[in-house]
Amino acid sequence: MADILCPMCGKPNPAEAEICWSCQARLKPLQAQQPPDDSVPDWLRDMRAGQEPEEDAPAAEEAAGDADIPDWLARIRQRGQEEGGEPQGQDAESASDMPDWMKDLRAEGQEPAGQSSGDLPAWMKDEAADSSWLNGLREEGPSAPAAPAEGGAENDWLSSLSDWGGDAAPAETPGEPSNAPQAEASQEWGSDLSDWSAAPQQPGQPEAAGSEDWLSALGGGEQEEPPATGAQVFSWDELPEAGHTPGAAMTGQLPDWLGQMANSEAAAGSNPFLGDGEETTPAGEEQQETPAGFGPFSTPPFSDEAPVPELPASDDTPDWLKAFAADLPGGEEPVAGPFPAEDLPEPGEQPQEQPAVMPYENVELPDWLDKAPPAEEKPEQPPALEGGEDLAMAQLPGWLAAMRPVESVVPQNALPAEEDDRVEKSGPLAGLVGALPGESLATRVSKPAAYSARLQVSDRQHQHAALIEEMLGDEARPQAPRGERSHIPERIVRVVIALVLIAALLLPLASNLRSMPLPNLFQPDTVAFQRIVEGLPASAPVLLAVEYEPGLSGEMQLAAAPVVNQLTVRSARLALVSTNPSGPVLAENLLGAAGVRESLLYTNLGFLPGGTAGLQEFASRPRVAMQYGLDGELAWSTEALTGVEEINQFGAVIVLTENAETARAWIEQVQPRLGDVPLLMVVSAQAAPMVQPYIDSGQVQGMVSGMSGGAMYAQITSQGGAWLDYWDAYQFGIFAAIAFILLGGVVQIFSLLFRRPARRKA
Amino acid sequence: MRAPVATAVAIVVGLIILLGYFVPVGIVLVLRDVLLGWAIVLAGMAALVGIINLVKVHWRKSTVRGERDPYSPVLLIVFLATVGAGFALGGPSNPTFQQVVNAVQIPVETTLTAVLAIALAYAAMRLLGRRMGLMAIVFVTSTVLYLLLNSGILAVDSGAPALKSALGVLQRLPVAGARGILLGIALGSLTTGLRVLMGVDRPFSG
Repeated sequence: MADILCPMCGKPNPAEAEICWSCQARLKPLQAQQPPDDSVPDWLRDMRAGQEPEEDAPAAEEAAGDADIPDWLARIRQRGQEEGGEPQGQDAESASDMPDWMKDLRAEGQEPAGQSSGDLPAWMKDEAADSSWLNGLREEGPSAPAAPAEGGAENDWLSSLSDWGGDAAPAETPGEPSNAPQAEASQEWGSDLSDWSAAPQQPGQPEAAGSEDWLSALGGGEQEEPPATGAQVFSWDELPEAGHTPGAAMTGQLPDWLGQMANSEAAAGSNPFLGDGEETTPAGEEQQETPAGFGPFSTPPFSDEAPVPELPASDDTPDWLKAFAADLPGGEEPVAGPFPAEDLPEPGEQPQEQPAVMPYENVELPDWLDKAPPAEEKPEQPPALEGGEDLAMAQLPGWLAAMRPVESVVPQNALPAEEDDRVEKSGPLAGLVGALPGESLATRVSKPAAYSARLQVSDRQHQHAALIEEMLGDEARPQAPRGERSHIPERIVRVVIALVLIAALLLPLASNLRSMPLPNLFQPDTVAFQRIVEGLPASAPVLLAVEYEPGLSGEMQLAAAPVVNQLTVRSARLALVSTNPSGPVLAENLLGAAGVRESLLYTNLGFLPGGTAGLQEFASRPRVAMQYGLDGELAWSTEALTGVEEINQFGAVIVLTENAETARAWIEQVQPRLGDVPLLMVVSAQAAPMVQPYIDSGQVQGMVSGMSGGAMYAQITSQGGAWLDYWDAYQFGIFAAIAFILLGGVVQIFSLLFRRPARRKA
Repeated sequence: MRAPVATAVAIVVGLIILLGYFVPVGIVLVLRDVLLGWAIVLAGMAALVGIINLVKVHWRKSTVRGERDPYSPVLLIVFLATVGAGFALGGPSNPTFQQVVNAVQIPVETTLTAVLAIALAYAAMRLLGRRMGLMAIVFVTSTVLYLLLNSGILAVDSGAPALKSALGVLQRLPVAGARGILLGIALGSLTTGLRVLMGVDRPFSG
């Protein structure tokens, strides 16, 4: 058994349950059973029963039907509007010969609204008396401006029809006033509006029977054959509000059923103005033929000034019209009919055959306007309410919708409102449209859909992404620096340089050619050095500081050997000291290389720690700073240092160093303590430039620099020795280095000169 | 202030030594000599501490697991052998001990100097290719010129007095640059000494 959902809480309940077990809300509302309306006639009840709520006729059809007004009819309306009234005499004269209904029509069109009630027929008087709303309409009708709410100029004929209808509406209101049920039905004109539309009935007929007869005659087509658009039922929503001009309202809101009714009359041949020879209005052309059929209803009041054309003498003229024509005074004189003479068609002329002058028909329209897209089809309305035939579909007229404060302020396209045509079926809100769907909202709750955060990418997109990534990666990847092009690998060049230098050193040593000339130009510093040593007293104590490193001992030994040899010649007593840990050993090695170790009195004081501070202490107190010699004995008690208490008691201080800093330390820390004792320097070639300023300043009295300085000193003292064996090797090695530097410079210059044009071309 | 005691001691000792230069009288000279004697002893002890630290570091490197340094045991072995030979042979004055220095230390250091000479020759050859410019050309020219001067090839009397004068001028050219360097060194040393004396620089504070 299917469960029903509670409209309030949405929970399922058994089908037979009347209240919700959860919220105690009533599931089967107490729908009031309306008693059968006895006031509704049977025919209307039957018609309602047979009617199916159909969709409203499209508004576009109405607009199109309004626009298809013939020119002649438009002129009739215009003239009728201009001529607001008629002379009373002619009116009275013609009224005597007119049928009653025609008199009523004329009276409605000529007399003011206030006087119309007096000329109304009895049934209409009662109707007018009972229908207060209708009185209100009469009073307001003439005074209120007949401004068209919608349609504008296209609905002129409908406007005139409304004007006329506004006055004639009470007369055309069906229902005999004496008939009580009919009066009640007339008050419920929302449901009996079909009775209102039955106004053009023949007066004088029995009300009950006449009502059905004229309806059968009028709407015979409707009953015998289904209407084109179905019956239209008005609801209270479509009624004009109080104070609103009915005519104005009717102008734009003429229902379709009215036009269809006229078409059906024309189709049934009941139109008194339609000849037999005229073709009935086809279903598809009803929009254009409707004005012809509605001539009497839309005709303005009669005009005496306008000639009345003859009515078309046709055999198809209905009998009632023929009798009407025969009763006219003058027989064949033109009848002062509802149409001006010039506006009426000629006898035998088919009104339908007149070319309908459409607005802007003779005007050349632009192409874009000719090719204007067809009007959008109106979406289908939801199916009619089942089982709710008595409930009218609520539809707000356009003119009334325009007056709504919300819609007049809020733009229509601001917030597209959802059309909720759902009609409440049950409960206290039954019959209302657009009620909040509590049931659907309650049952609409569902688990939200799970959306994947993973990007759905196709294979093609993957390929494109990979391609872009590769392109970007190439751009962002740093370019490896292009190495300098070298025709010859560096390692080979280095090996070649090493081999050439080794060959340049070994070949002279191996050959022992001594081909290179010995120096005979001597430096002044070397000469001064030699002169000071030469001027030392015999057996003078000399302080010899050995401050060079073992790596440069080859150069320093060759430079110092001539000096040590001369000191040996001068029987000098040597005191060896060094601030370098390896210095004492190098000093011993120097004396051994000179071959004077056994023949020379010397004392190796060893290593003097403390750097410059040690030199300062040694210069100020040499006995305290270096009490013991390298052999562990008291140094200052040895024969070599006999008589030496202070540093200025040495005959000379000779510093052997390859380091300019060490030479500077000795000059700065010891030299001030020497007094007149000369400070001499034997330095390597690399330290000579830094010692040269101290020579110029007189702080250093002589200097021998490098192997060349030693060679000069040997040349000055006419000494031989190992330096002669190395002299050729020394010079060849320097020449080889110079050759490499020059060769490399030339090659690089030429390579740059030949490389630049290539770069410019690139 | 970091190490205020050390800073105060450094400033006081520095001022006493400096004052001994300018006012070599009395107690100032005595204090200066005492402080200089302490400096020599402390420097000797620092060398001993450095030797002990060297042995300790290489002992740790040779015994640590995983990252054992293969050269550290060699250094320790050679160190112990040299110390043992020095004590056994009576010190550096022993000719046998001197052979250790002449056969090991001098060849090694001389070899390194020879390699340096080849590297310098190769760098000087490619100098113009690396950085072509006026100063590079001047540098290369100076190098070649003074190599020639120190080679002694130009020290041969050719009988041309102009050559002697030219050689004399060329020998004096480096003196100008050396003087500038020495003046810069002197000013830097003076500034450093003043900063230390004023306590601005505290290289001894650790």
